[in-house]
Amino acid sequence: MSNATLQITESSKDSIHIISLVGEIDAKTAPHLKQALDSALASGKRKIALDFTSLTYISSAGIGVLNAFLHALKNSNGTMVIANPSKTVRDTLDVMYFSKKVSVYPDLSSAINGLK
Amino acid sequence: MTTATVTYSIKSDRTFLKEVRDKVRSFLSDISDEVERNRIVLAIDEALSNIIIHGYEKNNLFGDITIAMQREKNMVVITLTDTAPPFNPLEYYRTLTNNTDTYKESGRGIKTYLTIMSATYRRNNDGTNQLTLFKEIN
Repeated sequence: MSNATLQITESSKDSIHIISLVGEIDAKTAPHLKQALDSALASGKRKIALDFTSLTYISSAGIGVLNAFLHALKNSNGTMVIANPSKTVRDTLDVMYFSKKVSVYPDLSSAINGLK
Repeated sequence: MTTATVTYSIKSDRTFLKEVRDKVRSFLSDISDEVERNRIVLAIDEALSNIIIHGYEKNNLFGDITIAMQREKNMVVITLTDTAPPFNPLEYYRTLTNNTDTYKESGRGIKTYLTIMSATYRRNNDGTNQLTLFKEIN
């Protein structure tokens, strides 16, 4: 049996916190993402770029986590963008209307520029 | 295409979600449009997650879920059968609002899979829930 995996790596460029996701976000791995996002917010990160380049799948469990995080971030005068989702991940963002709530950029550098 | 059917069972554990996604994706491998294929995979994943979380976990129960996948001509039919307490997602869906701007959207998973696929629900005489999702593919 193969389990879903989600690797999360974090880095910074200028004042922007970049969170790179590798793998899949489903009901099993979404709590792992929530933990990372809550930690970023608690440590004072307010400009967040989520790098979806190597994210291969997202379900409503992941969208729910992102949605709650976006709400908390906005309440803290923060902002968040998404970079380089695959065709299928982008479609899921669209189906769940999440792409109406956040800016989605075709690559990480334009996402970072969008946050400056 | 002739009729093809694949049936198997899993335990009500989130760990099995990826395995089911992989099996559904493989079953639909002849669908060339990856977005269309992923939408069906997403719909099944959402339905299965709801059964595991709301049917079993929240009732402190553990049980078996059977997944039957069928193809006939251009129709994909996937039936999920579980032993959790009765729950009709179609009735629940009718109680949900269409507001997509709220930050706490209950029923996002149900909304998603019922947007992507048509569905029927029935409570069987043997005490199982049977949710059938179907979709005509291009």
